[in-house]
Amino acid sequence: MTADRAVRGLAITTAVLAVVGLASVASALFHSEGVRQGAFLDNFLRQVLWVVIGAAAGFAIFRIPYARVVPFAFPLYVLGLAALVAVLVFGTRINGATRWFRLGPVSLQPSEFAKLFALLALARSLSWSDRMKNWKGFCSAWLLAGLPLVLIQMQPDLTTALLLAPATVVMLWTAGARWQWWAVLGVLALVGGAVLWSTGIIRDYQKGRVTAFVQKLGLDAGADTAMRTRAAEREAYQGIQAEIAIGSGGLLGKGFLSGTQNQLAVIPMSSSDFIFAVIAEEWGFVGSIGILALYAVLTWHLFWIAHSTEDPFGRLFSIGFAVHLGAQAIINIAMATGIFPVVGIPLPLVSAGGSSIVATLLGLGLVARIGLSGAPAFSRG
Amino acid sequence: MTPARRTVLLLAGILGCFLFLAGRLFALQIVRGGHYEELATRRVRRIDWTTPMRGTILDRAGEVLACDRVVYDLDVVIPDLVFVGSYDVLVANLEAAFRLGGSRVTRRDLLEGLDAAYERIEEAVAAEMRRQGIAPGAAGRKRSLSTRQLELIQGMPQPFLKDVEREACLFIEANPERYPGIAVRCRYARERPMKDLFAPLVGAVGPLGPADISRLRAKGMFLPSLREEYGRHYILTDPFYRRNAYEYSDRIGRTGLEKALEDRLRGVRGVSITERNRRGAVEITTAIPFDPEPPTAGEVIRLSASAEIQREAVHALAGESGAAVAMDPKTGEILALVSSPAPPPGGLNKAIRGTPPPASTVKIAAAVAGLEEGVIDPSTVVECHKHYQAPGVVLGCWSAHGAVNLGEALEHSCNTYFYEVASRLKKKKRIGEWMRRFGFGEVTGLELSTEELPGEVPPTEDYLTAIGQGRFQATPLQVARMAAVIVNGGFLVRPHLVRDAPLLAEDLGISAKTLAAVREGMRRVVESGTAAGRGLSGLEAAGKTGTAQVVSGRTAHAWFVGYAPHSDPKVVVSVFIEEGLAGGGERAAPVAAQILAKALEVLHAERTASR
Repeated sequence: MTADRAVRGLAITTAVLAVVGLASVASALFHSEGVRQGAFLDNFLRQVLWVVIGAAAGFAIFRIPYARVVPFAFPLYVLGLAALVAVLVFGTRINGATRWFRLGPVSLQPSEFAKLFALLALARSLSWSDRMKNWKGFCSAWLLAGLPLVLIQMQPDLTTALLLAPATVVMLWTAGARWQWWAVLGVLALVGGAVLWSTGIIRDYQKGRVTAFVQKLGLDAGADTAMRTRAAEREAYQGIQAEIAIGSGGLLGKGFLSGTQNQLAVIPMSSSDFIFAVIAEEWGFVGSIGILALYAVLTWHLFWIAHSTEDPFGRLFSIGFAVHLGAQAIINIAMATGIFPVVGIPLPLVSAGGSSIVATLLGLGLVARIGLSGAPAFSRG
Repeated sequence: MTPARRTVLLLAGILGCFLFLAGRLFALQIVRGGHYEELATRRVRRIDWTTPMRGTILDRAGEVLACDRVVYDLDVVIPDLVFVGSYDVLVANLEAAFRLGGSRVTRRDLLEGLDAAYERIEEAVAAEMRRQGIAPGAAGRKRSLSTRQLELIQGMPQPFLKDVEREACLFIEANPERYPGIAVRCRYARERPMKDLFAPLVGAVGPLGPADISRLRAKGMFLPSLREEYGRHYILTDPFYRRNAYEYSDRIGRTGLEKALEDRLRGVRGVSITERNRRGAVEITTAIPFDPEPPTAGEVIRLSASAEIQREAVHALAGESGAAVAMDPKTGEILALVSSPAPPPGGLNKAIRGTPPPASTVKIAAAVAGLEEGVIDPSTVVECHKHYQAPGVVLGCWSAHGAVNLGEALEHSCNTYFYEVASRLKKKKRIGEWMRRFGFGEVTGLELSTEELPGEVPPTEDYLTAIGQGRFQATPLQVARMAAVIVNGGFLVRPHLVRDAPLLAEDLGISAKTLAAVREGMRRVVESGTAAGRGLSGLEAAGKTGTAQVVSGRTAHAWFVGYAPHSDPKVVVSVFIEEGLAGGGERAAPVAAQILAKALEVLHAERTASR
């Protein structure tokens, strides 16, 4: 595969996912918002606009030699942190969390951009050749990832925050971190997690989701009923409705706009977090495997670019971004199919929501540029 | 490991995850697709309860004392109302319906009702959002609720107008397209047409209170707690289980007969089961193993009390503070039971809760005691010198009667004679025991027995007990029952208000001779004694007066207990009037005469009609 073909493949997969996304969002919005209130057209056109803006931004960054982008990695990172602080102070509360800036008719979710900028900063930091010589480099990388993570959790949005972790781990791993450092980190993470759970930094609704999930798996069949909080029951109900939607799709699905669960509007957040349930219900096993395949191909292309790039920054950013995107898709689909707790993670490029789409397309544009610039690594062995 | 190999390993890991998800999707959509398909189209079985009509309470002649009336309320239904095209058109249409129905609802009531309903809806939404931890956001403006908010309040109809004229409601029901978001709801309301006469007897119903709920819960008669106990689906296996259990919305008898006869009055709720598809439409299906069961209305209960006699008794006692009881001496049927002035809800019903000293009325029981124990006979003569030397104390009579026999002692209510009886009885069986045999000191067993007070028979005050003074306390109902023993052949009957109640009577084993002697004395009271010239002798009545000293001063309680007619007693009456200057003959006897006359008239008309 040549770099040209990899970039073209990336572009085509991205475009197909975005179009499928728009169609599915249309179907979900059609039933959940109701045509009567005129909210459908509003919301759908807004989503189209976001995709167009994202595509333009991605294309723009693709046109810039990425060497010129690299020096901006740290300034952008600081900008991202500043935005996260600002949203905590000035942001709009929706559904109990302060994640958004409301600018007239649109709302921005700075955490999506902050994560992208954090990946940039990590790649920049780790690309300095001496970084992995001692444990200080390892720690400073975690500090870089940790700052936005803490700020995002304060919104609170634990899952968006934790999504930074796999990318960070992978970038450190590919950069050559030693196993002793990982061992120490693992112990610290276990202790820290226990402290977070018991001190209330993790909110009750977040615990409820985990509890609901554990109950659904039947792991605590013997647990007393007091554990089954109302919140947990509701989360379990939402999860089950999505699972019914997916399962009842069968092989070929019920057809576009014809999902019965979708029509009854019993799928929670059908246009955003649970969009996969709508797709799987209306397009069946064939459609849902198709979506999986598209993400697999997209991830594969991203990895190919990372693999074939000599430049450390380009390689690290590409692989970090690939893992970030892949993990989002995997977690989102795992959640919809009931093998992961209900968490607020969008299906990249498909779920309704502007910030995620624009940030993803920006990242894809940058990786595509890296792909074009990178030397063909395979030929050199 | 080189960076390149690490990258390949990672890619393999991620693709492995995708493969795993593909496997999960295969399991969900292909292997178990049919199962989920069924879940997605599953029908929902729904159980509807129908509240029964509460029973009716009738008087002796069939006049309604308490009944349920169908009342029509208007509700505002969400989300329909939110999609109303024009608010003004709706208001205009409602006004038209009210005009057609001749309703007294004004435009102002209408607008205020709608606004209030809206406010309650918004409160309910806000509360639900708080409960779910959702921030209110910008969509809190009136009449524009978001889809999310609408979801929250599905099935939360809000009361809008209460007790609207039937015609207006029928018009609204018949033209639903003109009244989007407005629903007519029927409910039963309790009516008490003769409240002024019967309020303390009939009592009242009310909603379940927390105390009722915990009591019912303990008895296993509270449906919501039964559901918790047996799990959410117990009802699917046996929806007819405890159909008589209570729900939060049920009414319960709070006082009087409504409370005493609760089990007979409340009826049994109806149950119907329908299957609905997931859009809520009812589907005809043969899968339901139960036929719908209509509600059973509560019983129609006829009382022995007569509104006519009751009204007469209320009038006779008008302006006085006291009580009166009229009873059929043979059956214990209460014909009238009045407390005057009418007690407030939950107030003191003096006929069964007032416990003044029974005074000289109990001399008839003392006479029976003396005769039955053989310490006197009708011709026994006792000298009355106004003062009687009891051991350690000198007791008084109200006059020096000279030598009196039993008949004369009753006629003139001579205390001395009965002090002597009490004194002689001491060697046999104490007078207090005889009083207890006559039912004093215990509740009578009337349907309202939970509201009754038992009074008191002091165990040691023999002399004062014989003349109904001292610490002796009795209710007018107990006094009437005592008199009934004299005229029904010696039976202590259980008084009752419900006509078909079983006859319960205890044979006191009193000889006919004794009873005849006492009756003779009571006849003399009316003809020439303490109640002479009070309108009683024309009724061929007999009786006994009583005047109870009040500790505080010169005033006295007035009593009269009597029956008529003397040859074949049909009615026993006891009248008690609180503190006044005159005695029983003067104040209580005329009241009794009035009640007796009416009661005899009503009973006579009844017999003639049934012949």
